[in-house]
Amino acid sequence: MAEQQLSPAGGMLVLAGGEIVERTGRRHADITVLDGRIASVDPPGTSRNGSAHVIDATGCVIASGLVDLFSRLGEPGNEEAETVATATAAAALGGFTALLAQPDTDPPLDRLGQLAELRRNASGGYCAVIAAATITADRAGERLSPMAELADAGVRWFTDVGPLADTGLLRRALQYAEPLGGTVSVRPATAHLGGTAAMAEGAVSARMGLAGEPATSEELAAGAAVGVARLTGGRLHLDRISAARTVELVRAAKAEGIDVTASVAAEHLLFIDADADGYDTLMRAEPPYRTALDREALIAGINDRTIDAVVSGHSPVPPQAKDLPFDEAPPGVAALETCAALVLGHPGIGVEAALEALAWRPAELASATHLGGGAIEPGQPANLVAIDLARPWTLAERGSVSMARNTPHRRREMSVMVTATVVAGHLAVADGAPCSTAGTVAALAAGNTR
Amino acid sequence: MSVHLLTLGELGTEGISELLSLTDRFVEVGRRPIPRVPALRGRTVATLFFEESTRTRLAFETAAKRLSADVLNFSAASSSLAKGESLRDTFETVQAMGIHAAVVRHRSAGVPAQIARWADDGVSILNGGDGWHAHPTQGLQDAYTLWRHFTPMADGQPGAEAADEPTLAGLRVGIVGDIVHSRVARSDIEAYTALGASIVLVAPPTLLPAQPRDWIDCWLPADAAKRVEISHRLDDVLDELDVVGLLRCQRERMADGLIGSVPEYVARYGLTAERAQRLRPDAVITHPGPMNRGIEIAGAVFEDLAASRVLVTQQVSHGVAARMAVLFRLIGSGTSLPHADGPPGTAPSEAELTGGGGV
Repeated sequence: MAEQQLSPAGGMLVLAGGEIVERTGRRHADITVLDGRIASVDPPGTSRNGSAHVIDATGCVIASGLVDLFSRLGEPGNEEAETVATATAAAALGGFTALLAQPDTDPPLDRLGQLAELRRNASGGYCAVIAAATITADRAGERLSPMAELADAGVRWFTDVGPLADTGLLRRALQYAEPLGGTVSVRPATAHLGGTAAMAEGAVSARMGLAGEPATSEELAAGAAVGVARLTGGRLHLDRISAARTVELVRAAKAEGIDVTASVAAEHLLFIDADADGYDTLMRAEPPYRTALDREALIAGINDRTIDAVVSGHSPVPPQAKDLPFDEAPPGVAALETCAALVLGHPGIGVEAALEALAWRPAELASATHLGGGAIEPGQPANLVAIDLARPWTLAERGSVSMARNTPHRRREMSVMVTATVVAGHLAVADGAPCSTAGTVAALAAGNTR
Repeated sequence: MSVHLLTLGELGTEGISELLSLTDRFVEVGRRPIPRVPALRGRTVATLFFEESTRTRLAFETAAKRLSADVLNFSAASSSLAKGESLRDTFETVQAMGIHAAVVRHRSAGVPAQIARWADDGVSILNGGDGWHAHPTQGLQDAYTLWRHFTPMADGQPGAEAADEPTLAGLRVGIVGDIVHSRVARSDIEAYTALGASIVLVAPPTLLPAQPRDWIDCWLPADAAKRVEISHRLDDVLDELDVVGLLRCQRERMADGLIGSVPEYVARYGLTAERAQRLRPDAVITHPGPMNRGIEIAGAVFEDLAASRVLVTQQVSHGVAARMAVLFRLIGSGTSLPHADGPPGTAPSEAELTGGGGV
């Protein structure tokens, strides 16, 4: 892949000719970036300045940087599959200016020492890394982690990255996190109803001879979590929901005024259980892909804002791990480079709904509007993305910067390309390719990691 | 045309019929003083058994040797799987030995399909049983056994007459027991319905897939799905059945809480002496083995009926001929399996089936 020179540190950058899309509406304007911030937003063609590095964004949508609420970065413990450096490079290439790093690392991020290590690692990254910590010590599901200490150090997101079987513990976590300003995130699943099965339960799993997880597993766990959120008044996030009934449940809970939000992984907007029919381990997902009706409900949930965020679900695994039997292979896909293109190119989702779920709303949920998804106004931090909604490409031809190769999209014709990503005022991606030099990449992320 | 055998469904009625007709030829070979033919001389068949199995491995080995193929044995116990080698590494190592076919058995569903994607051109993958998914050669041997029980070969000769097409039309087959966890049930259902039988699946709901009707309707062709019914009471259907296909009831299912107790399972789904009295006079019993006498079938019933009505030994003996048919079709001169949508394969030449293959 061709590498381009990073814009001079501190130099002036102009994104020219694009159409800015925000919650408040659309407008054509040129954006001038200086010293990490948006210096001015001017009528098209009025900001050309001889000394500025100009990115021609004619025909592109310009949006605030995308924020991913679910990525696994590989470090520590899975460096064979991914590192913070490669994951953040992949993220920037996919239009993300900030990632919420999942704490199910080895060891898990459940204390200050590991938080410091992540921040050290992330200081060399291509985009901002927001730390999440586990709800329970050692991610063992038994007693709370030092949530208050972690919150004092800036952590606002707590998750064991999966179900929390003990509802009493979830209640205490929500109570404890509430005054800390923390969100408690769980992926709803019921262990005794096949919560670890390789497939969704149904006609397809029965034909394939695989144990299945019924949608009821997710629905019941989500219902219990929502009930506990009602009881405590705590902030609950339902991570990567997959079933129509769960969408309905979130809709009702929000209508009731319960402080609950929800996300869905991008792949769940594309695939259904029948796509796993050939035992392709790239089609093993967490949670499993369900029916076409479930997929429709998820899409509807994004369009009516019941579902707050679409996440990449980026889960790097080394190649040999996907060469295991379907029911033994680890689930998940490497998704950072394709997530935004797939969602923005999804025929059932409009551009505003996609940006709401990829940038504006997740930035609010992660308390990170300074790292992405914020307002495009003079004085704001310059986290921006330029998106060409009609530029075809394939991953196979463009190549990949993520170390992980576990993607089902290598040969999929994408219709949408992220052409430029600006992270804290620095051009990380231009013309759909990463700009990198080690020193400046380190510099760009230095003040940018919380 | 397919170069692999992963399920019977992908063969269609034509393909299954053709393999059963070919099985006739190899049953005849098996009756010879030296039951060996040169058809696969110079070919190598690997058996990749990641899960222990005595019967299936013996049947495949015997079939391959009777066709004069060389046999490579691999079993997980002696492999390096425990050393972190992936499934793919293991297969590719065996493939590099120079093989023409691999029989794959694994406790996980889908492994033969995965391996088929990694196989070089010219290497055929045969599913020797994968998880709960499929056991196509068992399905073939069971279908062959029923066909030849109800329509014997004329004068003991293989089906020379044009009218002697494999069929189970008009038969009503009960498949009784742990259906959800049974690859044999799935392959038998595919084979029997393709040949025109009607089927009733008899099991408590905990031993059936969660929405059994959806499963059947989404899986089988519409005309076959119509001929499959579901019952939770053996007594309701017993006197309609021409065939009682018993499945093995594994004791660990009780530990999983899927049935209340073995005695109550026996009382409702076992072929007890009382139920044996009610069988139709010409009804027969099949079982994939190994049989739990006293559970699926009462010991006394087995003793009383064994000679005439229990087809278990015929199933095993036909298992060798059926696997010879599959191996011959996949890696012999026939070259590939007839596919549901393809033209029929070629018949074996007399030269391949005559003359000793050496001793």
